[in-house]
Amino acid sequence: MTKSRADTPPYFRLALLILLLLALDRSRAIAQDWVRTGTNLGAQRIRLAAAEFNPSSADPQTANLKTTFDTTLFNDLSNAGIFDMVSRSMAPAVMPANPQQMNLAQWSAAPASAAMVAFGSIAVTNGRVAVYGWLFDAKNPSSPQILGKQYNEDATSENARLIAHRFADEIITRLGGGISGIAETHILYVSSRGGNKEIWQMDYDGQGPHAVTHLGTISLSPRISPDNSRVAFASLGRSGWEIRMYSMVLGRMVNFPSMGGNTYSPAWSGDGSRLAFSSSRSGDPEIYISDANGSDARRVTSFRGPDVSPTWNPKSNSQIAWCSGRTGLPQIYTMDADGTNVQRLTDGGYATSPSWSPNGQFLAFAWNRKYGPGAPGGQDIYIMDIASKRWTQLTHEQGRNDFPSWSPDGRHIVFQREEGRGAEIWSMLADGSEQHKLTQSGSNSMPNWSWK
Amino acid sequence: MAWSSGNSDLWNAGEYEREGMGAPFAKSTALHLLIIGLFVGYAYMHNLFHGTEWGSNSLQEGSIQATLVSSALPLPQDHPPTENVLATETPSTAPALPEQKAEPVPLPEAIPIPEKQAPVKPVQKPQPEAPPKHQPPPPKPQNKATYGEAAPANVARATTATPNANSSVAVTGGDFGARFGWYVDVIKRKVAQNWYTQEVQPGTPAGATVYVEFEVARDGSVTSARVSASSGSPSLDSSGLRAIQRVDTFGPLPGGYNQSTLNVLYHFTYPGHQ
Repeated sequence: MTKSRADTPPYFRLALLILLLLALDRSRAIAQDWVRTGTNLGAQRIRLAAAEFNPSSADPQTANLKTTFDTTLFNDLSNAGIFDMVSRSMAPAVMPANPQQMNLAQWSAAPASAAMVAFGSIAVTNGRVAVYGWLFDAKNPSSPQILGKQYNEDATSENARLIAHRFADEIITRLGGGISGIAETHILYVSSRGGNKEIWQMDYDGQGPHAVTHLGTISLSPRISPDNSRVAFASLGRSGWEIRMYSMVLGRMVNFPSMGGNTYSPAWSGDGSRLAFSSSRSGDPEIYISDANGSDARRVTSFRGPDVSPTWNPKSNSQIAWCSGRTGLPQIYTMDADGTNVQRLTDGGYATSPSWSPNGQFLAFAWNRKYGPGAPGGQDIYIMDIASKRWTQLTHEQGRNDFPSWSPDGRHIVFQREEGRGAEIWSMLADGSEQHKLTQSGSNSMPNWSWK
Repeated sequence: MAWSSGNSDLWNAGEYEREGMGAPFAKSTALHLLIIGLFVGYAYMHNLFHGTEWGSNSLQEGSIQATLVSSALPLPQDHPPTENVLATETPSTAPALPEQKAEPVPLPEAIPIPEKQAPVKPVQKPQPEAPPKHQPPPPKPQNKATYGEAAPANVARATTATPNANSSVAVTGGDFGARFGWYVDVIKRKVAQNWYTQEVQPGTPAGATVYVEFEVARDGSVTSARVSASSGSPSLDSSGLRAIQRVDTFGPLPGGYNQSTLNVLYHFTYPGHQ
């Protein structure tokens, strides 16, 4: 054997080796696909068309539910902040009910010029609403289907909106790069609509507001737990401010120990296992960290001046940003969860109510940079890149803005804006664009976006 | 040093008495004479006993072998020598030479027919090629612009047999971009959103391009990102790499895609300082 190998000419062996390498390379190519793509000038938004769904039943409820569904779906997709929606007036006249009726050339041609089309049918039979929805890639006629979904619920207007939210979230998850949509999320806030300041809840788009608590006292700063099961908030009791807990699962108040002194501004850690809050049982308000059920409270700050409004880094759960008045006017600081590594972020003015972005990169807060009587500017929402401490102003010269809270997808911020008489809840994209008013009546404040 | 001083003290004290040399000298001389005597005696005895072996029949050295000289002497033989057919002193007569054919005498008016001469081919000796000492250098990239756009190479790389026996073999695979163009768009857009051109040094020329290679796992997460071809600007290289690393996930790979990972080659072209 060795003899024959020694006899083979060297170039023959080289050729054999090359063939072997080629074969290996080829097997690698079979194992995985290659994609070659790139960028030079940023990315455009996806041009998405949401066709009106085709009513495919004669039930009298169908028309109403279809209108609700179409409106909700269109709003969800346009609120997502990642789509360039095709206006309804530019859409083709024929609304396809299923993939067989779909004529992609109509949608991809001007004036619609859609890159993606969401379409389907809605039918009501025997009090059940059935929705079939598809998402097609208009630029890829050979294999256009990206998504095909089927929903079946009781035929109510709420369910039509719920189905639209779910379908929109599916589309946003696929086309938004794995980040779930926020169409099914909620916003908790404080409203005095019923006379007292109670905790209220509404859908992310402002629909369906309803009171959560009925305590008959003053409740502030609601914070919902990451699993959406409990709401912690500060409430004025007989012995002063204390943290109360409401279970969304049980639908009633649950026990939370009273710390003594005034205790307020709770904040859930990203894993839901710990609660940071501010307590003045030792005189100054200081930051404490306890378990989710209120036991084992440890003090982490000890400075002169108040330390309030903690917020966790939801990505690492090891850092806390808070608002401290040690230098006079309140400023935003960050520290590790054990109280070390304190860093000041804002360099002056009046900065309050920090909220940490879901990816851990940014801090949103309210800031009045030139604080004082007759100073120019007002209280506005800012975001700061924590690593570089560079900030961007999001709201400009429109009322007093406070209490920002990030949406779970990190693309939106909900906040409170006070113009004239009462405060209302607003939402906007995280770059400050597309500001929408979510509440219309009464005084509504201190919004908190649910985690999912 | 203690030892040297002690020694000098000893030397100076002169406590060593001179020993007598006579007795040991006599013993030494006697021993030498004894050894010489033993040698001489051994040689004598050896010669004496060796002498008895002289002429013995053994093959040991010293014996004498008698060799007959008769074969070497040209003595008259008492029997005639054997006629050896193979080696004889009288060679047989050689066969007669073939008769010389008489050349036909050409007619005086005949014209000689010219013969066709076959071209002589130079014989090529197979020269053994020397094995290359070094790998041949890779071909230099041609810095020439190739114009026009070639059709995308959409070669099927995997075959799957359809369950229907009558139909021909369906060919799939290797066409991720054609089947899931939307996912390629997702990758492109998401990385582009995470690319901060502010990180690039302003002196970088517009059009500088870095190629970054990475893998997308089944759940959409990014692994093993690395610079595949540098742009020449370290800040542009690192900004591209950071853009990839900022991405947590692209979302799960499309359900119709049956491989475990997707390789992506992503290029960042610097648009110039703005």
